Amino acid sequence: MPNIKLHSSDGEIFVVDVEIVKQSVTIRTMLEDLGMDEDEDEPVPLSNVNSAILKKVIQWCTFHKDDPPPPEDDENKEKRTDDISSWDAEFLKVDQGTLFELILAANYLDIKGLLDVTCKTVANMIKGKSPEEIRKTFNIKNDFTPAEEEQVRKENEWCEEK
Amino acid sequence: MASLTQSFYEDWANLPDPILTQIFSYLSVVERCRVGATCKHWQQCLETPQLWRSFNCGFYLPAHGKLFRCVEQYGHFISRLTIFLNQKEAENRKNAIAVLEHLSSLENIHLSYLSIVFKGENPLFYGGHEFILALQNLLIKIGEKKEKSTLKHLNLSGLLANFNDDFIDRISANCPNLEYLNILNKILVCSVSPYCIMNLVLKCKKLQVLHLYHTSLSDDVLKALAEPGRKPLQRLGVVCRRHEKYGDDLTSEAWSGLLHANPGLKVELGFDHTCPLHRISEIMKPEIPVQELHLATFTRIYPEINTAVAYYEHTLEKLVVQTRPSRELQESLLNVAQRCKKLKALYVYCVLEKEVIDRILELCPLMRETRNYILKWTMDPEPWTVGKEEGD
Repeated sequence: MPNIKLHSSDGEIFVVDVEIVKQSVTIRTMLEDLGMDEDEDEPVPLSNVNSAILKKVIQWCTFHKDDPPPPEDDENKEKRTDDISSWDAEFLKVDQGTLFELILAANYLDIKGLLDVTCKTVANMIKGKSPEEIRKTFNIKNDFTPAEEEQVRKENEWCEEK
Repeated sequence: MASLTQSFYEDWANLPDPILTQIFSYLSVVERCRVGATCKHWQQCLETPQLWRSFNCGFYLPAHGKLFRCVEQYGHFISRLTIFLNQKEAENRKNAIAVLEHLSSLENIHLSYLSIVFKGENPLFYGGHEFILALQNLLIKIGEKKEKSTLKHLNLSGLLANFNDDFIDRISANCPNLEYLNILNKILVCSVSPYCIMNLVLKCKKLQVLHLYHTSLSDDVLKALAEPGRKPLQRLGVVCRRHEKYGDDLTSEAWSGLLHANPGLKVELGFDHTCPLHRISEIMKPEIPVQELHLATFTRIYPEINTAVAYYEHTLEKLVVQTRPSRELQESLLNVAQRCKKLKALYVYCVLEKEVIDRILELCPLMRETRNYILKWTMDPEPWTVGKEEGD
């Protein structure tokens, strides 16, 4: 099967079956647009993804290579977060920094399935937490002025009632 | 384990907007308000229309009234709105109406889908008048856009209120782009006349799905639905109750004409226990393309099942029967299983013999596989919930 070379931002080269990486719309487009032959030796440059994350992405794509294409988002369907497969859940048992990078990589490489599952994972980390707890979890700086914060707190007081 | 990250710190606060929007789309209304209180960027991302297109609210406790604040903030984005409430408490009713009133006050309303669902019991003598009024005002607002009127889907089956002709006329006048209408609420007396349904049909030429009581239909309505220049009618749900005592039948000719003009039409036909038994066979006409049949009569009902097989063997996909057990009933069910080749779902709310059940499932392997059936040979300890067949 034809292989393709992927070049990470920190200079590592990964040789991967082209069918596996076609889950990335970005790479697929690059191949088509650049008229790259599938067994050309020229590696595809991925300037936004380092080798450690690229390795994880390739691992995810390899496991999911036979998945049917993800369905179009139906605005009318209730969005769930309790349907993450056990393999994906295990795959995403990583430190928060890695999760962050995986989201960015999935976004840059346009891999819908990976983006969906990472976003759901983050949503699950947010659920049940107060604003302060959310800030703590994600290291978010509170950039409201005291006046703004008071207003926001007042407006959302009702959220705190269980 | 060495971190797999690069050395810059993760800036969750400044994730790209589309990603944050996607994450927030998995959160409930309450959870979204909490993330909005964390930092300015996250709060800004909540201002994304896509997030608020679909809006569910439930009013069961006084505290839920504060959901209204969200409606105030994001109401102008709402395209699909479902309101659930326990209507027994005045506070819940007040809050639900406040949502409708707020939407009516918006300059630009994008509402395309509306459903109101009463989950509790109506207080004694409650006729839902305040909801009818609030809805009428909302409909007028929606109708201001005339041919660009946005409402496409209106499901009032959960609204236990008295609909009358005036109310339906209001729908007809303001929703020319209506595609789905369901007025099959469980109110005791339906006073919607065929004349006003006629008006609805004439004004709403894009109507594709309609659920209503048999007494609100007439041959003229069926003829109007068969006129050219309309979007094809896809689904017609008709329920027959006590008032069939006094009704005129819809004729075979009218049904034929309707089917001829709408060859893809599927009909859901239902009879409840107040419908006079002799009327059932009279109302069932062979020309009706019945896909779903509900016989919730609690009486001897097997001759009607056999009639249904004879008429609808090529179209019937779902059968729901509430009746008393008998040998004849079992024979008629076997008849159904044998001849209705399209049968996908069978729900029988009485005890049957195991051999009969086994035989039925043998005859319908697809149904056995998908488990879309209720066929019991013992009285289960748990109650059988009619109407919850598809696990809704």
